[in-house]
Amino acid sequence: MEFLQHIMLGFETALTVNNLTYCFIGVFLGTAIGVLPGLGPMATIAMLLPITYGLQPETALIMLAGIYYGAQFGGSTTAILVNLPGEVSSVVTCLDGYQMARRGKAGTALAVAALGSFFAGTVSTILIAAVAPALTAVALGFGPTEYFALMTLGLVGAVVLASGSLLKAVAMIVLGLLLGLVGTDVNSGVQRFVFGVTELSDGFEIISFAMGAFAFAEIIVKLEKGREIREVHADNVSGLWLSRKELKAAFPAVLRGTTIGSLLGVLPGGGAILASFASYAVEKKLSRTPEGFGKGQIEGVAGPESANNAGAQTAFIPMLTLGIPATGTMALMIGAMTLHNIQPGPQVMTSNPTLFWGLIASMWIGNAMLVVLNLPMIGLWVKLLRVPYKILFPAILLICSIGAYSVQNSVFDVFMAVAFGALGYIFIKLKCEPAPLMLGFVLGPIMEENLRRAMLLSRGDPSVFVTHPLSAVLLLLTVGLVLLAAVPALSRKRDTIFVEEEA
Amino acid sequence: MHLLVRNLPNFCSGMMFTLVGVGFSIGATTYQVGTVAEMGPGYFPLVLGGLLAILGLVITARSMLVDERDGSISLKLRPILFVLGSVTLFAAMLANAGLVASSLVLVVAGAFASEEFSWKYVVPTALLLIVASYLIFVYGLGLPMPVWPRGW
Repeated sequence: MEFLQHIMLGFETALTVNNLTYCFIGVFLGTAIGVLPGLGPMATIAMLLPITYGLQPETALIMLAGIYYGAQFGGSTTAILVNLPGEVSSVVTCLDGYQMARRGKAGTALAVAALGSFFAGTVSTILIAAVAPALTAVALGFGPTEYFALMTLGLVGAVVLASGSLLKAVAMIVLGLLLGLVGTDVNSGVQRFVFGVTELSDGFEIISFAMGAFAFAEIIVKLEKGREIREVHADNVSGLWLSRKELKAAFPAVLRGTTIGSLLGVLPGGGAILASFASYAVEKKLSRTPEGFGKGQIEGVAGPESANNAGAQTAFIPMLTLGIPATGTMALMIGAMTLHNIQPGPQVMTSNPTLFWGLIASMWIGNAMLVVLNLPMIGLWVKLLRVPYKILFPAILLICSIGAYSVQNSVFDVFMAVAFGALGYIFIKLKCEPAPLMLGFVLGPIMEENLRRAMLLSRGDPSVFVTHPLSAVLLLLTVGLVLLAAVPALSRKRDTIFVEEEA
Repeated sequence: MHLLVRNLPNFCSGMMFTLVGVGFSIGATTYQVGTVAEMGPGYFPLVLGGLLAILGLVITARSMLVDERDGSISLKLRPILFVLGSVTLFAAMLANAGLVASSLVLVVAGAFASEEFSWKYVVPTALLLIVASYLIFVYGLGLPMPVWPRGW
């Protein structure tokens, strides 16, 4: 019954006219920006964050969640209609979605993506509501030792699931942790690595980093490639519904995709990415016509899209209950919460129940809005898709610059975004993934704080990490993950997964 | 160079990590380091900086000994210069020149980053963006920022 009470409280919060309106605006803007080619959810959220500054924390988070789903869905639309994945997790959607669009079945592909996502969103929202209180209760019993072990597990997990070189990903995390330490040390009040720059005493602004590394750097790289050729296959985006036969083919795939996505989404790193790839592989294996995959098989869109969305949703679980981001996007969400003076962690559920449950309820509402509003509005998105990049990117630059300024009404953050843009560009050229860095960046100060407390309590004895049973289990899991990643057979498998993705 | 370095991106990133790691470690020693039981502000960054430097060295070594051959890093100056330059100009101008003038400079200079630049589409784009950003950010969201040049 408690479960129902929570859900009711959530809907009471989310269903106010005010919050519904902002949820709608969030979904709308998120889709509009997310549809633009070359802008993933990360850049979209960073760009739209400033809009939420003036709002109440609940409303702001509800709107942000709307932006997040909108951006995800917008990315799928682009993948299907133009064969341009906005982010890694929609790479798989390109395979069959674009082929469907080429054969004049764009409407069907979009409809199955939207309905599959909605179904997955519904299931995973219920899952979050059911699991979160239990996890929170566990997390409240965590001491600093357990927290430190948990964060180690999270960061290592993120590395194992990241694409590309393991060593470089670990180095990027450590670099992120170090950058996160810049600013005033909470324990001693000493200003570290600020070099007399007063604006740095609160540390780097994560939004500046996200804008620089994910918007500016991407723009530069895209412009380097020269004139773009973009084929929009949306001449007859009509019949935005499924025939009975298509529905029958798609539904089991949606079910399987939702299951895979919900489970993998909780994992640190790229749960949603892994989920969409895994779902595609499963569908292909189970299909009676595996040769049809890659040529416009409806299961190839239904499964991965559901998995992707379920994963994107359950990624909220570690963030909401433990305060630990599973993905770069969640790291950005934590940054946004901090801006509104909410310290993410297990205490949010008890100290801010309306916010917590309102956010969860709004996840479902946001997903419903996606279906109800986006399918009829598809004509508008297609128009946006046709805006040439040479007009698009100056607009992105301007919105980001104004956004970075408005974080603290200071041009310092705009300059920082430029610096991080240069850094992000170097990372791309040196083939270093910037997403693990964001995780480290958010966790740096928290990890240090917990390590210090743990060592203070144990009087400097590091063996507490293995003598505390919970911490020992977490660290054992960490070691297991590292070993798994080092096993040649698996690392080869991992390589093939991500090579396929780059192809 | 190519005889020694098998993989240029990895080699450079390894060097970058090493240098940054060493830098942070040296910086950390200027703060109180403390003991394991009572860590000072220098302790954690010192450990992490050392770790990063070691990781960097391993990455560098591997790039010379075992990595797959990949020697390419290609750059084009024009997009880097105009994308980052236009935003820098915007930030430098905003306080005195206000949003309208700074946006104009940002959009025109930014658009220059593309090889397809032509005044024919840039001028209307700039005007549209300025009006839209004024309406959305200043009028709609009420973000406090200077709109017109100082003294107007």
